[in-house]
Amino acid sequence: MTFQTFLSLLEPLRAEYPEAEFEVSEPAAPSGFWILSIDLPDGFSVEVEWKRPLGFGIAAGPNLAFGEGVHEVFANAPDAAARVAHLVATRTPTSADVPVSIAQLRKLRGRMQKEVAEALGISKSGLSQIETSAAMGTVQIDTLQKLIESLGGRLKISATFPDGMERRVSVGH
Amino acid sequence: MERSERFQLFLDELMSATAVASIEEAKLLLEQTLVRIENEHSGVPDNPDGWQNDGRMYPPKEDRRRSISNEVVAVYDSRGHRISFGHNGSIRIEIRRGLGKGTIVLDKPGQDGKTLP
Repeated sequence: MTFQTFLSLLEPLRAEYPEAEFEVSEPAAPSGFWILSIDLPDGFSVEVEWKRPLGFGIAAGPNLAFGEGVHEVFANAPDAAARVAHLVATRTPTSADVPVSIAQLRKLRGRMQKEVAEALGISKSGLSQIETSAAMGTVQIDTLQKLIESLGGRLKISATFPDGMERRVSVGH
Repeated sequence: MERSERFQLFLDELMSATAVASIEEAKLLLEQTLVRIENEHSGVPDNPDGWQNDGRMYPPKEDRRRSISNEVVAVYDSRGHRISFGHNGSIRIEIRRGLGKGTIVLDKPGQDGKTLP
């Protein structure tokens, strides 16, 4: 799978929005980022950057802030292309602060339930139950922590207060 | 400090810094200026190997260098912006996407007093 594969999936979008400007920026080195920029006449813009093994990183909106990271990450071209099409159609700005469910997070990391369950030493149905309980807000913190770590991440919990104070809360190691 | 304020502070300090004489020196000047400002004002720890937005601005790394670069000018694409470093140490930052597309927000001359053409 290459960036060209991703671009080919966007051909229907080009046809649907002939007024949009699609620009591809090529890296100087093969290991560098390929970047697709989509500009719409109303000022809305979508940027997609890709390199192995990171996947597809997306940011969208009328103002793209200097030096900031991507807002959303997708492991495969079809999911990234579908997301881009949705963003263009709805003119929805992306935000790294939008919360996602554990199941969505697992998919964003490109992981199947079966492999994550195996990494945790539980059954696939057991993982499904954890993901459901997380969505309902009844999952235990240490369970959540192990799940996030199995995805290669680190769980951070923070508390915010009306006076603007915000602090990370220490939980376990 | 809000990101927009930090970005303006970065532009101001970069513009007023002593001019340099090569692409490498210009890139280093930009990196050091941005990292110092973000360390002092962003409240976010530096994570140069990160990819997702954490609220902090990061200088462009080599994987953002564009194929149109050559010995005379090195071009890097950052979020919504294009950063060009001239062989004479000049630096240009321009908005390349969305609202403000085409706007040059910084045009710093090199040590020879010349900006990028």
